[in-house]
Amino acid sequence: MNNHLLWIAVLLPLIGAVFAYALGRRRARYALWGMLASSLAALIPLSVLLWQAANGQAGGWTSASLCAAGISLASDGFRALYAWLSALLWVVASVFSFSYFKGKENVPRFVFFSLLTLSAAVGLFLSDQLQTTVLFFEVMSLASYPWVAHSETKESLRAAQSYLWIAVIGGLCILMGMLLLPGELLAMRYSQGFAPETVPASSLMLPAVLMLVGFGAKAGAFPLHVWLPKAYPAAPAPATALLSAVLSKAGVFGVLLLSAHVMREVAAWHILIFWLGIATMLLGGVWALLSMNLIRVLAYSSMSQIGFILVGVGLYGMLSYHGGIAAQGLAAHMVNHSAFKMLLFLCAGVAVMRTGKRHLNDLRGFGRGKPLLHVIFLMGMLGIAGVPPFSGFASKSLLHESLTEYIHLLHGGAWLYTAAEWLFILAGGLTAAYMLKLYVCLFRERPEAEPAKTPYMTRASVIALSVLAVFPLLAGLFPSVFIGGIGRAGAEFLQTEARAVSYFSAENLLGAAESIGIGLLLYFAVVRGLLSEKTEGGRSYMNPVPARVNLEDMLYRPVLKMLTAMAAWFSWAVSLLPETLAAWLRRALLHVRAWRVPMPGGNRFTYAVGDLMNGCVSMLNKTILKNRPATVDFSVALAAGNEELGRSMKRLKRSLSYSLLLFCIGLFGLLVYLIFFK
Amino acid sequence: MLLIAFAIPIAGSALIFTWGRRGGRIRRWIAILSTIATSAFVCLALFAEPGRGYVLLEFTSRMTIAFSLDGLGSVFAGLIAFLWPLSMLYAFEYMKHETGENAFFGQYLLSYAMTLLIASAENLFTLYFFFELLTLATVFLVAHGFSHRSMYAGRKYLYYTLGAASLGFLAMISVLVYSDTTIFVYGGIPALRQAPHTMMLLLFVLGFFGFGVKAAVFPLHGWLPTASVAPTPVTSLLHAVAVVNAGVFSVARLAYYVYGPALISGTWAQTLCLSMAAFTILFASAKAVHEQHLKRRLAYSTISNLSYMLFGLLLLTPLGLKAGLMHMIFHSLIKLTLFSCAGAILVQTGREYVQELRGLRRQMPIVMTVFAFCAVELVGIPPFIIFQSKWALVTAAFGSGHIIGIAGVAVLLISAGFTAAYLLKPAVTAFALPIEKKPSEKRDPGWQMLTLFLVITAAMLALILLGKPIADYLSQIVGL
Repeated sequence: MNNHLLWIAVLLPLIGAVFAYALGRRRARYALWGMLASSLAALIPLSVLLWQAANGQAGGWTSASLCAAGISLASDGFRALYAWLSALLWVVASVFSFSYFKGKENVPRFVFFSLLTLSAAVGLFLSDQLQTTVLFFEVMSLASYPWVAHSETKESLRAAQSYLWIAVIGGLCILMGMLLLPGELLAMRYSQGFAPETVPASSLMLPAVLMLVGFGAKAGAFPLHVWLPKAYPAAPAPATALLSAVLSKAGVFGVLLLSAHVMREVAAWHILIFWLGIATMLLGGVWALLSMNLIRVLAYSSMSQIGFILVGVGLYGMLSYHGGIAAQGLAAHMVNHSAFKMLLFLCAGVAVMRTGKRHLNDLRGFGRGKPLLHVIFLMGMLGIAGVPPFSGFASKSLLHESLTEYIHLLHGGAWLYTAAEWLFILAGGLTAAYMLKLYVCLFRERPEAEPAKTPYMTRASVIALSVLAVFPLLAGLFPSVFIGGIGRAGAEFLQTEARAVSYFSAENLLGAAESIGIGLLLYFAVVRGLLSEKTEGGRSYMNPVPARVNLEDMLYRPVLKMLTAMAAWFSWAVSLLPETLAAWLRRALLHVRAWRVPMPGGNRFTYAVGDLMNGCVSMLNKTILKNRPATVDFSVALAAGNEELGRSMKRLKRSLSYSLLLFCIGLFGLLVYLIFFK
Repeated sequence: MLLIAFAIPIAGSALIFTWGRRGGRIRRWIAILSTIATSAFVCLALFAEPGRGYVLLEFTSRMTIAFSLDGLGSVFAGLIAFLWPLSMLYAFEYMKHETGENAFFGQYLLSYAMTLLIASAENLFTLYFFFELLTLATVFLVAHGFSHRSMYAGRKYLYYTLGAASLGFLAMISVLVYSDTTIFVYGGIPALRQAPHTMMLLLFVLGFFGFGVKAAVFPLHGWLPTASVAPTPVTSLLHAVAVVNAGVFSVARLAYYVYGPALISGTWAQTLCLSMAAFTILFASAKAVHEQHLKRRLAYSTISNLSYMLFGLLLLTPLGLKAGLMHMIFHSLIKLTLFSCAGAILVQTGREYVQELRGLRRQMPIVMTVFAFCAVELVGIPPFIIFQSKWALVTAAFGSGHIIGIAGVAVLLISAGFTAAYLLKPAVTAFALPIEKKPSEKRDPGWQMLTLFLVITAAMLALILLGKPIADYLSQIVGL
């Protein structure tokens, strides 16, 4: 059954993009209106789809002829939810854009590519086949590139370069992986499931890892997170919020698909994802703690939270048929993180928009006297730090619970995973610590000058953000409704059984308390003790790690440079080959020596030998022949001899007898051949 | 119909040579009208009487000059019939900045006729005959302007193509010797299968390099980058579409319609030619990365992409042929547009090196947007059209089971990375901020050039969604 709402939802922003751009050519604000209208318009069919999915009517739509390979879309609970959420967040971002883009350039371009990205994101979350997913993923990657390059400053262009390269290389890796996958997996429908028993696991590992490179890079997983801390500060605030809230989830969505539908039976894969998640969440947390740029802290925070989600993805696979709780947890954390990061990045956007600065030391006390901003930020912060009763607590508890469940199931070697559990709690503590650092800096420190009491947000953005800010508390207070619902949808999509959970159990509360305790400890010991010092103007933050120590500048760029240099060298050497051949043929056949001006008299060889002999002679003159020095210039003599030789050879070659001689030699050879070898 | 289609451009060029000196107006009218009329007649011939044969001349019973448009020919003919009028329009505006318009347009029309004749040749003899004539028709276009550099480029072109085509001559003659006829048969001329096998393979390899010289296969690629000194309508249409695709087309004829996959498949000859194509792909795209002259960079890109097509063809499976043809169509559209952009930049601003493009988007927004779009297209990222053909190529390579074919998959992907490097660089540079911030006036070209950009971009956008009919048509041709 074809549900036409699916393609309408994808197409609406696409059409909107063209119209908004055309309108924006007249006045920039019209473009923003177009963006708002188009995302609202896309929200309508998506809401209907969500409602249908909630009532158990999963729709599908397939076209075999579009885009050569065909496109197939479907909306079951989780996918409909995420597509709907993307459109909703886009609405919030467009509302916010009105104040952010006041007096800025290139707004129509931003709007055009934003809507293009929305269309691709909706298509991606609704996709029902691996090839459709990849198609929309690539469009999304490329369409979001102008976001990063938007301000066209030197840093943003460099960030955009990293972004583009990682998108392109990641995209090529995905394609290579897709190619190595068996055909039936490509054509598989997620909604119908697939039994990969027919395919040996060993042949799946390489393609899956290749695809992981592409999807993981977009999600911001270690070690391909390098674009993240650069691109996020470079992009305009609404775009940053969307990059973190929606686009990183697209990468996670890809990894999820691999785990759930391609690599379900391959144990090693899930362990890989799990440890990748642990590394990502820890390193993200540590870097967030160290960073001093407001947006960069949040960027690393995104990375860290993606790590949590990846841990969930790994656990979901490792627990295989008991993976219900992990699936619920990761789905809930995805949605939660989208909401939190939207709030936090837009709050940060307000700060950047008003002051034009991003460094924490310049933003001290920015939030004082802005109660609304304070509340909104607090909602996001308490949510992401997992403080009960906010919704981040529920989702992190679910993840934690599945980890303890896995430890219970293990019979030997559990110490490794007990360590992982402690790392998990530590990462939670890191989250609390860096959020506290931001909070104290923005809302508790004293600013250098009391800020003027001017409205800092438009009324529309206030409303949009406030509505969104209710979510962490509401969902946290009634977890079985919200988190449970999201979890059920996620579990259904991942084809496991959702289980009933008691969210506010003693164990969970204890875990949260441990995390927050570690967070406070970290904050007071590390941030207060090591990473900041008291100065006259207030607390000044510092980062002991020099800026040039990063993976990109120390590893990726040099390696890429070396590769291109090698390619250049290779192609140069190769292209020399036919040219030398041609030159040689010219000399042999046509007696043309165009590439070398002949030296008068001799040639290089005679001069070289002559010079050598002259040197010998002069040496001899100084030693043995002191009394009777030789006066011959061998260089000239040899040149003259060579010229004479050449002249006579030329004369000889032109003579008939020489030709006859050669002819006879040839004839003789032929005769010998005929007599002896034939 | 077909004969009329040939006659019009030849007559048109004769008219231009005789009358054209009277004034630009007359010359242009003759040129554009005869181009459009030719294209119209080609379309008529394609739809009204597909596959109808004409015999023009009969030297002996074996050597005839005969034409008929079969599936393969119709793809090529249709492609150039679509692109030539657009390019002609582009050339009107471009050639205002050059001298010797009369000779240029005369030869431009003449080469249209020659390409059509190649596309519709019914036998190898005819194909070879017009293959050589195409060289002669285009050599003065390369040497246009007769400056020192142009003359050098023209001479190089002549040596390479005529020299290597002598190898093709051997292949052609040998077919005449071993078989009663040289008429193309899909799957190969049956009589050749009785001929000495090693001899046939050797001659196939000679023929591959002989006809492949126009497809710029390594080591015979040298003429193409040098020839980029020619006026842009020549580099864009002839050296990205017509002439070079004629090379690919002839190799396809040779491999599938003369010797036949049954004869060559799985032999050392196939391995050799395939590896040569794979090597050219890698080498040329690596070379393009560090070439700083925009048109030469695009020329190296063309070399690499032509070898994509050859690579597809030489897999000697129907899927491979289909993929090669698909790449031929899509690449032609994109590369023609890219070259035209480079030409528009050259004419409007006089910039020809990649670094000089910095900030050019502000002056030429339309051209640079089209350029960036085409650059992204050619990298081969879904859902853009070249992705479809590259994907077809790669699946065909996997499906062929040939060892070089499978190694070639890696080559294709690496080369896609290089493509990204050499095409995104100029695109991104053009979109970066200019160094000196002064108010810049718009310098987008006039409507004649813009028509080409807009029509082809629209076609590419449409093909993103509707690539399927083309793929189906090609499947039908290759008998899938």
